[in-house]
Amino acid sequence: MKTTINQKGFLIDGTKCIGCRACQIACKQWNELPAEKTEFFGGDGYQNPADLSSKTYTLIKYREVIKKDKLVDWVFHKDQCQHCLEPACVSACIVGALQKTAAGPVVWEDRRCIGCRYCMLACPYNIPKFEWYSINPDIKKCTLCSDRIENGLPPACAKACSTGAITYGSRDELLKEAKKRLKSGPDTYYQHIYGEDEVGGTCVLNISSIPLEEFGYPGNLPKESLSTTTDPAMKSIPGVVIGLGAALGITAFIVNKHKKQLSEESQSQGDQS
Amino acid sequence: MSNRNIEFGKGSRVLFGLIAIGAFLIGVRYIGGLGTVTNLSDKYPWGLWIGIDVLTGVSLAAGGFTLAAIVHIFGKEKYHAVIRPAILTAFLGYIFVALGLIVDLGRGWNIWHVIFFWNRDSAMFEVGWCVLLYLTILALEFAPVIFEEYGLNSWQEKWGKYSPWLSIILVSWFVFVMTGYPWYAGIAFIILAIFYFTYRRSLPKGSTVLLLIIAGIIFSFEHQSSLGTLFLIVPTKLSSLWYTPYLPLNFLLSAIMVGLAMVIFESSLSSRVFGFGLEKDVITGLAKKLPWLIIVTAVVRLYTLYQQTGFVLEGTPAQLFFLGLEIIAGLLLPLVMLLFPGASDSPKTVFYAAAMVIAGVVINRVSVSMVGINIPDIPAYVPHPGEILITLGIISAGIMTFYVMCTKLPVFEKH
Ligand code: SF4
Ligand code: SF4
Ligand code: SF4
Repeated sequence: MKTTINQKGFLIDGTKCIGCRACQIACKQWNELPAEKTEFFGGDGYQNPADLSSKTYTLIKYREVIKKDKLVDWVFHKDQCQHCLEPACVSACIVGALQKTAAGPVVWEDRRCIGCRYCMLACPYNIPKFEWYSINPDIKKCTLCSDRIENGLPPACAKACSTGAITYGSRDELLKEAKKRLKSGPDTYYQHIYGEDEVGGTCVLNISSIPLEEFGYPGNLPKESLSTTTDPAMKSIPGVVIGLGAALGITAFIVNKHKKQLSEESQSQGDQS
Repeated sequence: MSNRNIEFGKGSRVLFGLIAIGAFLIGVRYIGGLGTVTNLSDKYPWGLWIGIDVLTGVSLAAGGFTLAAIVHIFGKEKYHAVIRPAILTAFLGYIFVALGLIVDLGRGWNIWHVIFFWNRDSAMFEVGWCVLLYLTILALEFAPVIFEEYGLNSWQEKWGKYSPWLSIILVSWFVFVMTGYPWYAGIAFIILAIFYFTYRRSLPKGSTVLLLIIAGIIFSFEHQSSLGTLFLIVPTKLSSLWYTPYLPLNFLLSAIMVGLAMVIFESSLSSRVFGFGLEKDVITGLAKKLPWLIIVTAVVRLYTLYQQTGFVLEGTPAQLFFLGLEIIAGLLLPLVMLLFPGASDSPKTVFYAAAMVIAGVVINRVSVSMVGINIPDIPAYVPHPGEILITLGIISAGIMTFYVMCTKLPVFEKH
């Protein structure tokens, strides 16, 4: 799974985004997602709706950069599933309802899901969303437009973007491009490609004028896939089962054998007397 | 046990009331979705039901295997009197854990998918199989009580013949499911089969029940620790007050400890409710073992906490409060109480110490699954009254079933 040769992804360049949200609308249209009732000014910035949900797979987050009490910049960032190279959600799913496809997208398969929501807990970016008011709830999240990619079409949001803030392509190429942009714009960009190494790397690469942590992205993620945290415990199972079985079996044998001897002795003594 | 009439007093009326309310709310949950009766959200997808019904439920059911090990593996016959109630508690505990889990699952009716769709990377997958297999083993362990009551001798015979093989097969199957390697399963099968034949040849009759006991202990070990494994995948979400790569070990050790505490607590309580005077010796003996288990649990817990934080404890006020309760009231205080000379002879001291150990483990599980999980900028999760009432309903149903079964079946031995 580690090879990224054929994996597609996005380069999200916040400095090119003008906050028009055409991508947000395109995503809703393509995925036939219903509108959401929202409130103006739901949190930091002016983003609307306030957060991703089962009806919103992608969202432009707004942040104001204030220096010395003056608004110096308004920064935008596209929030969505990062399509991790080794996704925590995929490793977490009990029935394998979430799958990493060879082309890059991480997709959810309706038929298998039991609704345990472990994927939601496991995802470091809180991406998978749940239908809280449904009798037969789905897990909902960005699919990297897997259904379009398979048919040679670019994802809907990327197609809708007119400023070049969303570049769709192979991850390897995008990574090169991202590095180039950081190099050529040392003052424009905060010098970090978010997604290059985070949790083992993601298909979505993000660059911006401010650290992504300002948009609520975790800053303390390990460089390895989160699935490596549960690996040792899962790998230990056969050893523990067999070792424990042997230890218990032998202990029980020794103890009970000893008891049998004792009772035989006392019996034979009883016979003599 | 001649008097087998069930008496439903005031207490049971309260229980029935809670069961009715819980059942009604579960109905609402299945009509309107989880959002109608819970405060769960996209940011806090797990809450009270996972914390109490599942994590705590499973840990408190640990008495079944702790005692099975003491009596059958280590041959301490004197505790035989309390093994049946402990196994019944575990059995019912697991049934109601499964029930609570199904209510919590978005698509509970799909739970059987676990049997057919395998994802070996998932800690949840191990949890699912452990519940399934251990429940089977517990049913087998408890079955003789039913055979005895209804005089089903032929069943008892069949049980004696097939249950060891079934145990061996289930353990090997578990190894296969978890690894995908038939040869690992083969090794498990051969080792256990060797034990079976050795026991049959050179141990007293009836020793083949040991296979069942061994399988039960194996699944318990795996299950208790796998619940800790679940949370390894959230190193950035779970507070370092609880997160450690050794979380599975912490869960396992505290489960063994609380298993013993539960047996003490329950035996003291049931002997009052059912009036079967237990030999005091039994509780005293168990109480003498408890401090050792507390020490082991506490040392590992504190050491891993030190590893993770260097004892620079940071967290929300609620988190620090829960941590304090868990360690001081749940581990250190009961330890001190039990170490006083003669403490284990005082039923009262023992009872309260056991209750504190239990409370400490409840707090620990609640912390790991709820209080310890904090998403920046999002207000912490607080359970909805609906969640609390459904949990209370499920617990009440468990207590009620326990009471009825203890009255109707030969759970407590005659003296
Ligand atoms: S960002 Fe979250 S949901 Fe998306 S692939 Fe990674 S772990 Fe899965
Ligand atoms: S909620 Fe569904 S997709 Fe998510 S981990 Fe559970 S079974 Fe898998
Ligand atoms: S890739 Fe497709 S699903 Fe994902 S945000 Fe863009 S349009 Fe929406």
